[in-house]
Amino acid sequence: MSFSVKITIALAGNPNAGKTTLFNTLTGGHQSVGNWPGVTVEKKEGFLKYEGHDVHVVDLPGVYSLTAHSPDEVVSRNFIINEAPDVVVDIVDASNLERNLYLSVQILEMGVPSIIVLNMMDVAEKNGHKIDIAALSAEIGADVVPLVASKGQGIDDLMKRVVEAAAKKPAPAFHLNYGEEIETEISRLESVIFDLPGGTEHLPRWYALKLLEQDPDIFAKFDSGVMRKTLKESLDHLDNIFGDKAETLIASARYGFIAGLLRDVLKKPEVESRSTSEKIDRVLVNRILGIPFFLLIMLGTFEFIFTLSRPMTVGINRLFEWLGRLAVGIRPEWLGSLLGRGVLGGVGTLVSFIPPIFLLFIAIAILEDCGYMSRAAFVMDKVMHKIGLHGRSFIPMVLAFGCNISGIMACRTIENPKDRLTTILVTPFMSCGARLTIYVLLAAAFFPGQQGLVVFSLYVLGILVALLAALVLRKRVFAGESSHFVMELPSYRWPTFTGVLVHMWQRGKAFLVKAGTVILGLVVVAWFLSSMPWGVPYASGGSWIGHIGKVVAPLLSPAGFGQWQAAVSLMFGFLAKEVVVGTMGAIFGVSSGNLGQIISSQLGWTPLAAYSFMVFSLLYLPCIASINTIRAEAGGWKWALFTAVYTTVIAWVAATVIFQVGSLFVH
Amino acid sequence: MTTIRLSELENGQKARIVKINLEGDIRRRLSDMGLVNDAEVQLLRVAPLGDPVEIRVKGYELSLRKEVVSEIEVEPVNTRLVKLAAGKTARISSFGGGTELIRRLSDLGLNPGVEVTIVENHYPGAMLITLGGSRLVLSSELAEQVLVREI
Ligand SMILES: Nc1nc2c(ncn2[C@@H]2O[C@H](COP(=O)(O)OP(=O)(O)OP(=O)(O)O)[C@@H](O)[C@H]2O)c(=O)[nH]1
Ligand SMILES: [Mg+2]
Repeated sequence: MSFSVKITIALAGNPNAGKTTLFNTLTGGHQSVGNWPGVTVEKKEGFLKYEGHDVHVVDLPGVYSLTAHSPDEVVSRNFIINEAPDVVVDIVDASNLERNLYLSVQILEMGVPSIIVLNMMDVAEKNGHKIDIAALSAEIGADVVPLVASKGQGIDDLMKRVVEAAAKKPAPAFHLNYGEEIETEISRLESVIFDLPGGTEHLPRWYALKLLEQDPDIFAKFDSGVMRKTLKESLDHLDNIFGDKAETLIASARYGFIAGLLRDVLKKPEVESRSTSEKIDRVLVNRILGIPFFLLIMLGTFEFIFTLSRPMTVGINRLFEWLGRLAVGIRPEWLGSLLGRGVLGGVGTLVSFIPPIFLLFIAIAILEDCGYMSRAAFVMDKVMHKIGLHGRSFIPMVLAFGCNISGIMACRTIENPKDRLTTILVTPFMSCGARLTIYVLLAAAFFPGQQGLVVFSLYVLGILVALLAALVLRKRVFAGESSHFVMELPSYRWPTFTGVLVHMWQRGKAFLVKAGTVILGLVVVAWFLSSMPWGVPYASGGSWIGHIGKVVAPLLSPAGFGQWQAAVSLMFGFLAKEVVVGTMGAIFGVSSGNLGQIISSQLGWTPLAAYSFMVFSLLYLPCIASINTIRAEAGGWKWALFTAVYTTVIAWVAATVIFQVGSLFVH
Repeated sequence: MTTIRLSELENGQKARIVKINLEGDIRRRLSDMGLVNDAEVQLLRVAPLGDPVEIRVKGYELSLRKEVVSEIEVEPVNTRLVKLAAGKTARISSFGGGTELIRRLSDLGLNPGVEVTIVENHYPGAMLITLGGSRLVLSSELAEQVLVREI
């Protein structure tokens, strides 16, 4: 007879060890995976059924130890310590055991039921590392399971052990001997903890160690007069004897233990060849060539996107033109107008941008999976340093190229609160996938043959404005020391075909869903406002939409696009940036030909005015979803409103300057 | 600070002379060549059988007998990690910063005694180092706090 029990397992481990890959394999989920540390920033939950058991799986952000430094790390630590999962599955990168086992030792010392998973066994084998798994398991007194999460190898064995471990009584906590002097102080602190109210519940030894490591959160838990006094005595005593701080002594003891352990269980080739990653790095992140390479990669990406997507976009455009003409013929007249002008004009126009947008998502996926992402952050550190931030802040900015929201969320990995807030507030200047629709449309119509370059210039402008804004914010508003910054670089890895497709599809699906819901709804609203009052010529200045647009339009004429159609599109764009193009599509319709050309002829824009419009679209008011994320991540409406106002002011100034100065040169 | 014998330095390591346990003629000859207290020396290489030992002092390269070298007491020179150029290797001796910084670094495997190699140094930007099996990027402020002995 078998019982079904509910088992909660937590996936813990160093960043980039493959926790989310395992989580997705176990639960069939689609959480983001990427070859750089810090992909997962909040805990994610999923379920699976294994041999009749309900298993609740929790994926956690990566941590290097059980002391937390940034908001994402706090989540992991609190979960492991406070939520008492039935089994902690500790994912270890088998190709870098020494560093990874440092966390494992700390988890084992807590005495919670745990299983050590040696993931990336394929990489370890390729590097010629031979691991004696049985000996490792015996020496640390825990289950050790080899795994290749990305290929699903070893999952069954792991789940068997999980079920066993959940049923067993937990083994006694792993006891690492820190040497006589430290052990004496541990005992002293243990007895103090023992006497404190509520202090005896569990793990006095583990808490004593954390106190010696001066973990501020654990200290707060046991703060009392006696504790302060005893701890100070202990720390001073150790400092006197060893001339080193307690935290260094404890870390050294742990690493010493691991080194001894690895001498017994790990065989590495005598001479380790200089890794391929290092050879690539000497060129790609070179002191002088690093930034030029980064810009070249970006420019190459846009050329690639445009060359590949142009024929597809043209084809889709034709199809919608034709459908549009058919639809206008439908009776009753209002229905034909709604379908032909509103739906096909608005949403259809967006559909024609699927190829470039999906190609952009593919490019970002390759960037995330190959290992270049954190290198870009390293290369940019020199520049970021000048504005008072660190290279770390550049990762959210690059992610924001896909969608600003994922960029803003990624700021959680930034340790220093001032750095974090600054990065959150400037991330909206990074051009997202939705804004790409505007550039594709206008660049094709006004800058034929140079689309790649024009779009590249807008992305670079976005980066520059973000950096300038960060400079001012960091020096004026959030003045103060910038903190230190340390980040691990992963090995380069070939992106896998399925990996890239899955990534692309996750982002792409969100775009499609948005096009079918929010954007469709808005476009219908735009159509309605263009048709009302009933009887006016469609989308004329006399329609309701015309009246709305005319209120705002004069404000925009210094920037070169004072037409009410432009104003109204930008206003609607607040709800989602794709709606800018969608509204134009609804206003001008597609049945009469290429939307870009219509805009050019009907609005009488020069290429300069079109460029100015693109600059404004790039910089102004983030979409409502981004604003809401800023509110949540920056901690309040204050910053969300601030962002809304300052981005729009900067956008207006930038577009006006470009148009006015440009007009002096171009006639 | 502990002193060691010049002969105990690792290849390429730099140190400052603290004491010379030699008298008379040989002592004078060493002084003439610039080997005096407080002078900075660098051990270049040791011949296969441990003799002679090549060192550099004040820009000159000298070859000395083992008996002489082992009578010279030196204090290895700590440099700041941030000062090292790409391609150099060094061993960590201690940290200049406070508790939180030390903990952060030891979490990532940077501990006294660990050997690191500098791959790129973008000063005043960050630097890229390798240690054990991993690659780390450290900001210059942080690398400023890490004291190392070059080897
Ligand atoms: N070769 C190999 N690669 C793997 C394996 N498991 C995961 N990966 C890759 O390792 C990278 C990191 O995987 P993730 O699952 O995102 O790692 P994570 O532990 O969730 O990382 P964070 O969320 O940043 O803490 C991805 O590029 C994966 O494709 C494996 O067993 N072998
Ligand atoms: Mg993850």
